[in-house]
Amino acid sequence: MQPFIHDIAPKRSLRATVFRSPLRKGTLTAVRKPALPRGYFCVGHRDIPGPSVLTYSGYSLPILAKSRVRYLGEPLLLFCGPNPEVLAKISTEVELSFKEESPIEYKDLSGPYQEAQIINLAHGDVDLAFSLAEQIVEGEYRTARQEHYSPDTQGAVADWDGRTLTIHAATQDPFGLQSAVARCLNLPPRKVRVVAAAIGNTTEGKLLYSFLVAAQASLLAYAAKKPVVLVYDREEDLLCSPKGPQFFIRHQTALDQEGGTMAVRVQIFMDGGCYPPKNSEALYRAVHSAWGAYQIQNLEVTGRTVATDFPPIGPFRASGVAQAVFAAELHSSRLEEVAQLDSYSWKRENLVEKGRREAPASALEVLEEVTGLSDFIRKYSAYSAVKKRRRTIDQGTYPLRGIGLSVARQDEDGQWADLHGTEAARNSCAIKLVLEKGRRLRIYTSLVDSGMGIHAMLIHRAAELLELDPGKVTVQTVDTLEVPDTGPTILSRVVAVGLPLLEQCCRVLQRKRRDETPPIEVRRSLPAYRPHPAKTGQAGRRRGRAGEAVAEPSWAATVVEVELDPVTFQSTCRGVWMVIETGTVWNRTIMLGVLEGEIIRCLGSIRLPGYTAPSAIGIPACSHSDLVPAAIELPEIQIHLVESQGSDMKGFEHLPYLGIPAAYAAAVSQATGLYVDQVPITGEVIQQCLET
Amino acid sequence: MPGNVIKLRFTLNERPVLLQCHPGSRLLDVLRNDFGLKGTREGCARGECGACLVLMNGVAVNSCLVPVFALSDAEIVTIEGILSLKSFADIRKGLPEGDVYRCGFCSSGMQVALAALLLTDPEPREQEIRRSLSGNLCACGNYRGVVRSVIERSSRKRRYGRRRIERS
Amino acid sequence: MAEGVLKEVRVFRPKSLGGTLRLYTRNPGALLYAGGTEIARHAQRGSGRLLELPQKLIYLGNVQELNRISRGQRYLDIGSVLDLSRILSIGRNVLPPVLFETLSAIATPSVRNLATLGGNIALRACRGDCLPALSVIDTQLELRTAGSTRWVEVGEFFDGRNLPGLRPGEILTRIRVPLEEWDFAVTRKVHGGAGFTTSLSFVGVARFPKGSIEALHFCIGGLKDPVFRMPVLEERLKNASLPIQSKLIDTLFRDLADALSDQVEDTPRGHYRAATSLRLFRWFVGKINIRSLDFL
Repeated sequence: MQPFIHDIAPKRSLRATVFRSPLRKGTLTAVRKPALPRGYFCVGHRDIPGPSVLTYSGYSLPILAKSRVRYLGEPLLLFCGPNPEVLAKISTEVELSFKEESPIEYKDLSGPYQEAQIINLAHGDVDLAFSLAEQIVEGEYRTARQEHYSPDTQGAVADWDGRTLTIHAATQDPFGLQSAVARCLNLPPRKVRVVAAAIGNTTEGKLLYSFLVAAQASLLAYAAKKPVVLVYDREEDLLCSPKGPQFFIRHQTALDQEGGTMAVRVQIFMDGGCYPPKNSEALYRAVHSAWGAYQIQNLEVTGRTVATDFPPIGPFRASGVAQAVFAAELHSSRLEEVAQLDSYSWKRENLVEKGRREAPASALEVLEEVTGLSDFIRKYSAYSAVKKRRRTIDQGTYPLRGIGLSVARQDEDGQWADLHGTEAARNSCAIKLVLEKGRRLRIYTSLVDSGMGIHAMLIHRAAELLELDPGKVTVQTVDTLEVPDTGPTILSRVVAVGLPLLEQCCRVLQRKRRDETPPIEVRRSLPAYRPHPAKTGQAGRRRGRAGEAVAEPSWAATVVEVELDPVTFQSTCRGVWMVIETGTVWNRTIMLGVLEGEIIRCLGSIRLPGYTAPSAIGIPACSHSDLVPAAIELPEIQIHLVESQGSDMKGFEHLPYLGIPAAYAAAVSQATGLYVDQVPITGEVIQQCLET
Repeated sequence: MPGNVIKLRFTLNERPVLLQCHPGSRLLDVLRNDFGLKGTREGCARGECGACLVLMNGVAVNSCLVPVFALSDAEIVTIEGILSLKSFADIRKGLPEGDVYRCGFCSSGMQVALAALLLTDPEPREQEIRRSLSGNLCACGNYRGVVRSVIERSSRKRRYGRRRIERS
Repeated sequence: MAEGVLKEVRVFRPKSLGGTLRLYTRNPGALLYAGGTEIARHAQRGSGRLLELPQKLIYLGNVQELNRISRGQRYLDIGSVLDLSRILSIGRNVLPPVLFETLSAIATPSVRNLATLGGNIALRACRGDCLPALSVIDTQLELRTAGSTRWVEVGEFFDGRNLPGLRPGEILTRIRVPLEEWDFAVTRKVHGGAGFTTSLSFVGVARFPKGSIEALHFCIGGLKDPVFRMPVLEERLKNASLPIQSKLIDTLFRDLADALSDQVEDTPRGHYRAATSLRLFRWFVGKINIRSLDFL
C-alpha cells in the first residue's frame, strides 16, 4: 500500500513552512524578509516563474498573495530549511506593513453584494401562475460551510534534480496536479513527475488545494535544489483549506385551491468566498436541482455566486445539489401541510414527469420500499398525533420523536463537462491492463484509492471478468511516468467512466489471451468530445462527451427517525433507512461499506456544530469532535439496494448527502413542531427557532 | 546536563532503549522520527482523533500529548509491536484484519484502542467495543465494520473454545 | 543556529512530596505538570516541533504520595496526580455516582489514562468538567506548601478573576471526597464546547428522608463562574415538603434566571446556555418530585 504523505521524508529533505497573513483583509504595503541562515530558503510571489494563480473546475486560488490579502492565513511567503524550530523563528522575524480593512460579516447572502456568477433557468409561465395562485408559500433555508476533515492533512514532498521535478502528493488528480505545477514553474509537463500518496477519505478536498500545496513545495524545491517536505498540521489545514460553500435559498411556491403546486420560484445564493468562482459547477448543479426530484411545469430559478470576505471555497462532495435538494425537500414538507397530505402521498404526486401519469418507476419503487422498511406511515401518524397534543416542547420530560422522508436522485448529466471543458490539456482518459505470467494482472490507472473502495472495485471487477484470483490482481503505484491519465478520482466518475473503460480492456484481454502469451498489454482510452460508445442491449445509456457520465440517474428514498431531548434540545438519530436504486450491483460489500460510512459522516455534519473559523492564527478552530461523529453515537442503519436489470452500475456516493439532511430536518420539525430551516441542527438552533 | 537535553530509559516494543532528546519532544515525534515507527500517526495534535494511540504501561494513551520526560521506565508498545510481538499473539486473534479498514489512516489508532480493550476483556460486548473506540475518529465512518469484525472474531474464539472443551 | 533557537527547559522529576514542595519553593515560577493533557494541547506548535514549555517544569508523575487513593469511613482521599481511569476503576459503587458519571464523560478513554483530577481542578486555560460534581458533594481540597497545609472547599478555590487561587509555593495534593449517601443524584453534560471552551453541565444531589428536603445542592458548569452554585436558592428548598410546590419552583426559576443572565454572554450560544441551564434545573426538581413518590 502507498504510504501517506506524512510518512514520506527523503534523505536530506528540508522542512517547509508557510508564512501566513495575520490579517483577514487588507493591503500589504511592505514585506521585509529576515536574513536567512545558510541552508534556508525563501520564496515570495515574485519568485513564481509562471502564472501565480491556480485554477481548477472554475475555482481559482493564488499560490501566494501579492499585495491584497483576502483571508486570515492567506499564504504570503514560503520558507524551507533543515530545522523546523529555526523555520518557526524565521517566521516571527518577517516584518509586515499593511493597511488593515474590516471584513464585512455577511450575515445575509442575499444582500446587495458583488456577484461573481449568475445562472438563470426558467420554463413555463411562472408570473402567470403566481398571479392566479390561491396561496403562496415562502421559505428560506440555510446551510453552513462544510469542512472536509480528511484524516490526513494536506501535504506534498517535492524534489528537483535539475532535470525532473518529482512530487509525492496527497491528491485526487495526479495529472491535473502535474499540469498545474508545470504551468506555475514554466516547465513542460514531461519534466514533472507526480507520485500519488495514499489519501484518506476526502469529500473532494484533495483536488484544487492539493495543487496549491504541491506548487508551494515545488517552488521551494526548485529554489533549494533539495527535497522539500511540506505537510500541514491539523490547525493549519482547518484554517486554510477551502471549505464547501454555504448556501442561502429562498423558495416561493404558488398553490391552487387544493394545495396543488402551480409554480415554483427559487433564488439561490452561494457564498463564493473571497475568491469566488466565476464558473462554478456547484452553482450550476444547485440551479438544475432547485426543485429536487419533483416535476413542475412552471419553474424559475436564479442562482448567484456572491463574493464575500469569507475564506475561499472549493469542491465538496455533492456541493450545490445537496443544498438545493435540502431546501426543496424541506420546502415540500411545508407544502404537504398546506395540501393536508402526508409526506409519502405528496411525494408520489409530485414526482410525476411531464406528460406521464405516473412517477418514474425507480422513484416509486424506492419510495414504497423505504416506507415499508421503516414503518414510516405508522410512525409519522403517531408522532404527528403526539405533536398535536403537546403544548410546548421545553416543559416535557420524555424525549420528543419525529420521522422524516426524502427522495433524491443522483444525476450525472454534465457533471464533469466543466472539468473537461476547463482543462484543455486533458484530451483523454485511459486505463491500461497488463496480464503477466502466473495469471497475475496489473491495472495501470491514475485513479487513487481514498477509502472509497476504488481500487478494490477495479480489482474485483477485473478478477470477475477475467476469472482471476483477486489476490493476484494489483493496481500499479500511481506514478505519472507509468500510468495513463484516467482523470480525477471521484467515485461516481469512476463508476461511470473508469469501470466501463476497465471492462472494455478486460474484454479485449480476454480475446487476446487465447492467442498470445503473457505479458499481454491492453490500453483503452476515451478521446475528448467524441460520442461515448453505446452498448447494445443496454437500456438507459445515452451518447455524450468523453468523460461525461451518461448513465440514468440513481434514486434514493431516505427515512430518518430522530429523538430530541426536551431539556437540552440536542437530537440523536434513532435510525436511518435508505433504499437505493443504482443499476447493477456487482459488489454489494463495497457499496454498502461506502454508503454506511457516508451516512455516518453525513449524520455528523447535521447534528454536530460543524466548522467554526478561528478569529486569529494560533487559536484553535473548533473541537474535532464537532466535525466527525464518534463510534459511541451510531444509530441503526438499514440500506437496501435495488437492482435494475439492464442498467449499468450508477454513481451513488452523493445520495446520503442528498437524502439525509432534509429527512433529518423534517424529523426534527415534526418532533418539535418548529420549522427548522437550516443545517447543522444543534440545540442552539432549536433554541433560536423556539425564540422566533 | 544541559537544559536542552534529557536522557531517558524506557522499553519500546519490549526492547530497552536509551533516548537523548530535548525535553519538549513529544512521544509521537520520537517514535516516528527517532525510531522510524511510522505506524503511529498524527491526526489532530489535540488528543481527539486517536490516530496517535500507543500502549503505555498497558493502557492506550495519545502519544501527541505525552512529553518525553514522562517516559522514564515506561513500557511503550506501538502498533508495530502489537502486530509482531509474540506476547500479543492472542490479542491479534481478536483484532480486525487489515481489509476491514478503508483508507487505513485511523487503523493503527483503532487497533491500539482495541488491543487495550482486549488486554482487559478478551470477549468484549458491542457497547464496550464502541466505548473503547470513542476516542478514535474515522473520516470514512467505518465504525460499524470494525465493531462487527471484533464481535465476529471474539464469537469465533468462543465457538472454537467450546469445541475444544467438547473434544476433551 | 538550531541550538540557539532551542529553548532551555529544565525538567525536575521529584519522587517525594517533601522534595516536590521544597523544589517548588525554590522555583516558584516552575510549571507543575501532572498528566499534562491540557498543557500539552495548548503547547502544540505543529508537526515535528517541540512543545512550547516554560524554562522550568516540575513533573509530578513520579511523586508517590500524590498517586495514592485511600478510603476511610467518611471520605475518599484521592491523590491529585492519579489519572482519571484509575480513579474510575474504584467503581461506581464506591465513588459517588455524580463523580463517577462526570469523570466517565471527560474527553476520551485514552485521554482519561493520562489526565488527572488535580489537573482538571487546577486548570488555568479553561474550567475543568469535574468542578460541578466535586462542588455539590462538598469536596475539599488539600493545598500544601513546604511549611503549611490548608483545606478549602471547591467553591472557595477560585479567586476574583475565576482562576485557581493557589498561593505561592502551593500545590494541590489531595482531593477529599465525602462518601455521603444521597437519595437522588443526576449528572447531565451538554455537548457544545468549541475549541477549548468548557461544556455546559448540570449536577444535582438531594436528600429527602421523611417526605421533605433535608439537603439539596446543584451546580452548573460552563458558565462564567467556574463553580456556579446558588446557596440562597438551595436554602429555600431546604425543609420544603415533597412534592415541591409549582409556585415555589416558579419563584426559584425566576431567581435563577436573573442570576444566569450575568453568567453568560449576550450571544446565541449564551442564550442557549442560560435557557438550557434553566430547563435543567426545572427538570432536576421535577425528577425529585417523581423520585420522592417512591419514598412516600
